[in-house]
Amino acid sequence: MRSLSIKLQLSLMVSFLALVIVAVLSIVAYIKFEESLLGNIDTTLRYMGGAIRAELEEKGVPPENREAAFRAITGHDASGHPSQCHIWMEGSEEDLFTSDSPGASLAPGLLHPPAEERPDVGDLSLFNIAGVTESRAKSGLRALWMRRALQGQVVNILVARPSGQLYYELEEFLRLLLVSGGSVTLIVLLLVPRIVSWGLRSVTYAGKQLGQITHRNLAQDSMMTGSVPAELGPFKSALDGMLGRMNEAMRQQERLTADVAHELRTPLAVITSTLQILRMQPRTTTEYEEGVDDALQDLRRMAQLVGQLLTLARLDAVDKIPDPVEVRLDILLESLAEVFADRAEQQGASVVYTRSEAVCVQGDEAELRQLFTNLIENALRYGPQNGMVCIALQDGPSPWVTVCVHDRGGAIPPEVLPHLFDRFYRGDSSRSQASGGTGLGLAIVREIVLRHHGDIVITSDPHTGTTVTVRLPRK
Amino acid sequence: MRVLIIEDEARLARNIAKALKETRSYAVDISTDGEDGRHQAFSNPYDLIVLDLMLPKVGGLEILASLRREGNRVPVLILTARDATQDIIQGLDSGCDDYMTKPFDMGEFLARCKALVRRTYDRPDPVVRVGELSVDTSSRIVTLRGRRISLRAMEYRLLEYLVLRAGQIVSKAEILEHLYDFNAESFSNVIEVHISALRRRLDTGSPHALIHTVRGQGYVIEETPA
Repeated sequence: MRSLSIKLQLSLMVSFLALVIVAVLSIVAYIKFEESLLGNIDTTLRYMGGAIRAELEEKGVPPENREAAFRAITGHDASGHPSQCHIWMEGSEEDLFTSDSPGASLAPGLLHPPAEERPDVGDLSLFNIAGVTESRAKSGLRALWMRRALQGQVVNILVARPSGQLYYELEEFLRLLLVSGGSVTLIVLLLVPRIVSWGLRSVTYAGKQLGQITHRNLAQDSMMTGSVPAELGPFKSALDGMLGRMNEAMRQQERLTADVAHELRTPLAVITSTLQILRMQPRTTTEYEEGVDDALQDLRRMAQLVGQLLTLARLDAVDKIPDPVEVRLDILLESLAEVFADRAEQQGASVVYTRSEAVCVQGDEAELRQLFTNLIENALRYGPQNGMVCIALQDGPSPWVTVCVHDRGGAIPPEVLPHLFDRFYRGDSSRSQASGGTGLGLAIVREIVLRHHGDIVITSDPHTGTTVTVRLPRK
Repeated sequence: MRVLIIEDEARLARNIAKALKETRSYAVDISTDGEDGRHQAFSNPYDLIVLDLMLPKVGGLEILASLRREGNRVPVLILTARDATQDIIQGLDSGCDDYMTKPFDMGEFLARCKALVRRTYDRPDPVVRVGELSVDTSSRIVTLRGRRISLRAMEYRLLEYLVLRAGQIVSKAEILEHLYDFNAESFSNVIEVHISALRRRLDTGSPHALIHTVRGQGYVIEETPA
């Protein structure tokens, strides 16, 4: 599944964040603004309530004067909006004072204030009274209800001011908030993708450079030239490392292909030349026979090489032994020693196998046979004429089983030893087939040993000869 | 003509040598490793060196480079299994005259060898003429005044070498060096025997002998002024 692009993800995230911040700020601003507007009204109402109470507490004031004072307190204030007032003694049907007038009748909420808003004596409450017209909020009132003990009685003072203007103002403010918040969000939405693109430009550049990698330019030191952001540093070095390894593998493959080509071309050249010379002029029967024998011998060599190449390819293709079985190594080595003893005898050499008790390893019998065949063939090939090849099997050291193949051949130079298992390695740049080897025998040996989780060591000494030691895990 | 083959694949070297001897009557030396090959290349005046690149001890390109460094201009034909373009370029840069990759066609190889040897003696035309004598070095047909003369292999080699250097005095030593390989039993009077045989075959009634003896120095083939 393809995930969303980083650009889109970041843009959405940043925009969402911006939207949330703008919304929260707007809500907070709205609430604060509403509180402050209500606070203004409430302050006025408290002031008016306090003034009315003070007026009521004053004794000996004639009712006309008192009423005039009430009107003065509530009638005209700075904003020009008339306040309403309702004062009555608890238990008395008679109102002490109402601001009822023909122009502005007392709101029903003031005549019969909601019981749930009734404050305790000596306390006050502030509440909203909904309007009666369609837009109830706009024609609503903000009211203050005060209950005070006065001369053994409880006086109720209820003053209210219209709060419609407040809601007009709040509505205006809300509109402003929506417009400004919306534009901020829109700007963020438009800008963020560009900013993200700019921030990601090195990724885009790296992508372009990576797109140019082919098997031909793998060898470059670094694919991402130029500076990369710190976050991409590990990515870049990991990538460079990977490309380096791929390059090495590629070069190795190329070398191997070149070697294979060389190894196959040389015998082909020999066979071609042999046969072409036979055809150049009439020959005697003996000459023809010799030529055909030569060609056959070279063909056998090619066939051997092709066989070994296929063996290696098969070993390379599958890392594990397909179905490992228990192999009696002592029996296997004994049969091999017998086969090679006959062959060696014809060349005046000998193969000696030191018997051992039953020893088992887990593995593939054919591969193990190939492994020791190659080692014994090498010992016979590179050992001295009429020499002796000794094969010894030892059960140990735990947890190993050790097989030594020893010949009295000349010393292998120490600098050559580490390369003996390289494919087509022959000690010098030549691929001389004078010795008859293909240069793949030990490479195959190592592959088989590794597949059997064992190890192999070659030691060489001019006095004692060459010993190949193979260790395999004991079953 | 004397050729050195430096090739570690012994059978291939033998095959090439055989082909060169049989078809071109060249004297051929074989060396199967780089060290010996370099030594031989420096010690004998070869007319052609066939060189493999991957050799034991000393690589082919190294031999070629050291030859050219010493001012040796012997034609070198590289015969190798390496066929990458950069290998060919490297070979040509090191001063080889021709490059063939294995496996190769023997006929083409012989033709290229022939052309390289001819170039050594500055004669791009395969037919060399000295007066009324004409030697076709390609088909090895010798004609004198339009009549074909049959020669033995050794006589032809001697004549070819003399006509390629027509007008120059060729010493017996040079003839020995160029016409015999190490395996040949060479005595100095062998040359005299072949020279006199050659003179007999070319003496078909012309008043002017072609091969002249320069006392104490050698032989020269040239048209005697009438």
